[in-house]
Amino acid sequence: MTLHRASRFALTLSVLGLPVAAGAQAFGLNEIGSCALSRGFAVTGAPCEDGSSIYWNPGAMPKTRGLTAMAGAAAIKIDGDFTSDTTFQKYNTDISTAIVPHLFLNYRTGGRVALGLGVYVPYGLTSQWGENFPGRFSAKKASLQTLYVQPNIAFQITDGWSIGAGPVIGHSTVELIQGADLSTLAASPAATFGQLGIAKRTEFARATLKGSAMAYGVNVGVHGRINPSWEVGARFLSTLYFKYDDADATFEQKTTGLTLAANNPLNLPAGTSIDAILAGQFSGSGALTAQKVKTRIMHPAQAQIGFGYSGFQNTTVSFDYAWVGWRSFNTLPVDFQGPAKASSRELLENYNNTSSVRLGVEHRYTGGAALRVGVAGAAAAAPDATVTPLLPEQDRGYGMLGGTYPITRTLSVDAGIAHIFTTGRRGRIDERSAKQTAEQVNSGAYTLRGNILSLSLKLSH
Amino acid sequence: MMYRMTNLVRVAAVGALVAFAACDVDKRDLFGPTTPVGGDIFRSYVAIGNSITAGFQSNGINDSTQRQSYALLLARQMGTRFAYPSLSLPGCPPPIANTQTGALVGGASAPPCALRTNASSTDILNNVAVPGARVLDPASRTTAASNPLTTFILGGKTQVEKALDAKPTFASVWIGNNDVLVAGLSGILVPTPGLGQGIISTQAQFQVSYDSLISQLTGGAPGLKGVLIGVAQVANLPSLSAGGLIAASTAIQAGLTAAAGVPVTVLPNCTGSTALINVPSLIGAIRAKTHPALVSCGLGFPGVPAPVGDIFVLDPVEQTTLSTVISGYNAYIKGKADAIGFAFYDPNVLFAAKRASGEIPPFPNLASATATFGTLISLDGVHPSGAAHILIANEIIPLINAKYGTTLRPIQ
Repeated sequence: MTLHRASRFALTLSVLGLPVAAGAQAFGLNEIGSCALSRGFAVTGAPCEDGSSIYWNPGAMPKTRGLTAMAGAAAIKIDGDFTSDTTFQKYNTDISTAIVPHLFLNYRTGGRVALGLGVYVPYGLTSQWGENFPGRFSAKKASLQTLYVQPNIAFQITDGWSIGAGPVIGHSTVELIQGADLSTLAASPAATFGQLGIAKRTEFARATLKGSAMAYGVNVGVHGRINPSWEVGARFLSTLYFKYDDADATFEQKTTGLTLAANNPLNLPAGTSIDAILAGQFSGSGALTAQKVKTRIMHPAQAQIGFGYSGFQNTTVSFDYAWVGWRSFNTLPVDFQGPAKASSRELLENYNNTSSVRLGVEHRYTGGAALRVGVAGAAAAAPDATVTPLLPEQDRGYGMLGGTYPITRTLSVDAGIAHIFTTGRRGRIDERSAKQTAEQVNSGAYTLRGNILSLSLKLSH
Repeated sequence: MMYRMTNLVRVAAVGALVAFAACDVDKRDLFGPTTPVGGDIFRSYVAIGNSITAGFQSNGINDSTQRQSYALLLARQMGTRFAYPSLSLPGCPPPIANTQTGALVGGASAPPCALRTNASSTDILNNVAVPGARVLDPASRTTAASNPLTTFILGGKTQVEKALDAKPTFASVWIGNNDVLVAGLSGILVPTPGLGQGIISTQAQFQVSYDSLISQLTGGAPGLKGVLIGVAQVANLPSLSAGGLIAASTAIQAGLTAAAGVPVTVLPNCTGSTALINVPSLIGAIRAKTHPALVSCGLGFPGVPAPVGDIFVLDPVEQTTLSTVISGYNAYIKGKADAIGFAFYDPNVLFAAKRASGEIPPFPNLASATATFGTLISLDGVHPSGAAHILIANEIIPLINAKYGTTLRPIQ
């Protein structure tokens, strides 16, 4: 038996139909700098003096005189689960702890100019589920890692006000592993395997997609001191549009263990192994041989405005509002470069712009030590119909705690921990059509929770 | 000092805010799956069986008939999910629409099988019953009884495997009818080449297969509860009519002649006979000219060679044999139900009562194209109608309630 040509297209499409990779972006955790993390990310108006403002507010860099260097990493552990309406079974995530680095250098001359360089990860996610997770046909594993490199220049306009900007060079890698569902495959021009009785979510292949891309943007900011107690700042990070034009797709056959009964509609002998029927698709000129695919993932723009109050002795209170332009992530094109080219399409995401509020408090002690706490809340970008295995996104809150421990006069270590709270959200494990509503496609409940530990070593000279 | 205290208060306030956020309340019950109204034991109900459980009626099956299955009706009363392998209209095969013309649902242009509906595609089925299945089938991927519906419904698995996919908490099992049905309808209880396959399973074979089914099912679903249903007595079917009744009624004989399209002679050996004649099959054979246009209620009538008088005839000895076999099956099923803590339902009390009352008619109404076998039996003369499925469900419900202390309500 050979698979119908149309089925080969549909098969490849189903395997590579990555709604997925793009969704990962929405999980921007903002774990950039241990100080910023422990202050609830409310650092645009009242920046941390550690160089991380190259990201958080490029215009605030002249605040720090001399050389500042900061390097560190955040360990991110995300856990979650999905409980099926159908079986009541709970499936846990299987996500390894992610280590996300950050590096910042800044130098202000004796004049009004500060020069710097930032290397940071504004968007990234690894989601991974177990072998028996029914949503593995959307995503068994999805990993998106995007590194931004930003040279920065800032200028002190007046004693209180400064501006800054820097080009952003982004490099993004994406990896997606997902199952292929035999029931959606055409067994003949007239019928899918599902119509012949093969159960939905019968995994017969596993696809791995890997690709990388570069993109460019800009990050600008302004910072000012209104009076001795109040500061204000604002920043804007532009959209970066990543085009993964040379992604690789590979396929591995998965054993279904199914055998056909006598008098089956495929007119094959009783006891015929379905796996044997499909084996030819994974070699030679089969549909499930390595091929190329293109996709596009928009990394959205960010804007943030913040205020800082330092009227209390040795204490700064800061409050920020942040906006992320997720609405730009409306569709996701999938352009096949192999035999499935005719089946290229655009997948619906329909994300919404999001807002978050952020509050942080820092109390400084003599000798350079500091204690910080923060809270933040962020609305979900994904609409109710796009809560998926790749990103079961939900409204979330953060609680943070951290501090600075001075090792020497010029060297100190910052540490911060954060816990991510969510309320849980109904979601789906299957793809949906444009006409299907969340009520029609959502088939279970997701929960998510996470912890972040961030450590940074800071050198000030 | 005052400043320090003030700062501590501020820090504490923020800390309290964090603590408030940290109230990680489990809200799963607000948005997750809910317990069925019938009780937690019905969280996942699966139905194993054959054509009756699958919803086969009038020699066909489609989404409309599948919705009338007693199993689906039970699930509704339980308030639990019940996914069945919906078969597109007009069916697979399409049911009979008119017994006089032989017209099928969907008309002459209807395909022999309209396949599964895309919308019914699911990984978890609750009704895994397959028309034609015998006692050996639920635990086997392929047997002599396998047919296209085996694949359409099970997709390469066994009924038990599909049932266990649903992680069942409650199961109904109604299997075994097909081990005796064809023998009963053909009147050939001993396998005879060219005539009939006879009774499929001996008592020992039945027990081995049934035990294997139950062992696999309960072994894969610890704590499973459920109901086992006995095999129906073939003699209660409206397809089978007493020879004496046919001989005594000129109206019936006229009906036979009209239905067969040729004059049908009722031989004298039918007078007073309690032999049961499979009227629909006999008429079909006369029309097809594979059987002479006569009714003989036994072998050996002068000038009438075998198998006339044997085929389509269930004589009193055969009735006793068949009844004994079925009773033996049912005794074992009841014992198995008792052993594993399941409820047991014997459908024969209901069917016998309806046969006695005439609601299952003693002779088909050949003048009616759409109610030939009464309101309780569909147009193939064998499978229960939607009305009968309601009666069956309403007889099973109190047994479940009595066994498990549940409060399932009867179907109104």
